[in-house]
Amino acid sequence: MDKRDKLAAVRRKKLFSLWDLVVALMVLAVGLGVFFFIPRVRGSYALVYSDGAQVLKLDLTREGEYTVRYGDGYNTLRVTGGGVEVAGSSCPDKVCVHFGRIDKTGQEIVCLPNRLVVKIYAGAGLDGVTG
Amino acid sequence: MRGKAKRIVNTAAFTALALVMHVLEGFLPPLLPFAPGVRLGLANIFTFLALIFCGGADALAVQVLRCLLGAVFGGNVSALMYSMTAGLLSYAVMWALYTFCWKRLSLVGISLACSAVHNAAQVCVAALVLSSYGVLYYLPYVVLVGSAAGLFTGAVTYFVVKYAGSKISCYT
Repeated sequence: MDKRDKLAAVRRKKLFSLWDLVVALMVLAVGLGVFFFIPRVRGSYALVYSDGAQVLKLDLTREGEYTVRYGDGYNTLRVTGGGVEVAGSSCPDKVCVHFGRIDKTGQEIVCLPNRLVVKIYAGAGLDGVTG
Repeated sequence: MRGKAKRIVNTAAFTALALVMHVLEGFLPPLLPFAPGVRLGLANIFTFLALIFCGGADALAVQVLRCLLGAVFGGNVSALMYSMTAGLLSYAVMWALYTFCWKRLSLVGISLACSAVHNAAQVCVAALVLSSYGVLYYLPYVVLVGSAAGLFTGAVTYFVVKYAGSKISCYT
């Protein structure tokens, strides 16, 4: 096909086509699918969020106990052997305590009554330079 | 001879416009606070226009020159490995789709795929450079936001192609 004809044909096209949807779905499927194929690696630090705000950054190589308070409630975090667990909590259901210890990137412990989230990360994060 | 001169002028103009957009975009806050590489991709509009109005080789020149000059003008040469890798990969996708699937896909669809590849490539380069798998966890967010940005730039390209005068084309 002549390039001039192609340009004219492109100009006559509509904004969307049905095949766009196919492309969009493929992109989404690959983008989200990758999530399940990323090897889980051991984290190097954990971020602790209380009511959505980051309150602590735990170095998982250094063992210790930390307490996070939220209103009248509290959670005690214990770092052991490159992982972190909730050792004690004021919440009634203790889901966070029974969740056990986490040490892989992407894993998280949530304590809903105390609005606490502990999430594990690895490496330097995406603080590097991108363009 | 007149056609050749027009191609050179058009490629230069598209490169200049893309470069301006590239630099201006650098002043905007990132779309995702945790992933500074995710941008609206305004500069890509001009690469796409060069592909449509001038051809594959001209658009490749625009893309490569924009990445090189963008690194110089932005004063951030280390960002070049991100923008060049992502730029070349996304251009390959854009060219392939526009050359082989242009009848089925709209410009918006091509732009969406191109933008998704661009952003995914940046995250993969970041994972390699930082040698950290953890960075890949950003991939779904980055691809999602990147695709949305691709919809926008694709729509802009569509309206330019549809309503701009035929004088900017190398073919007429």
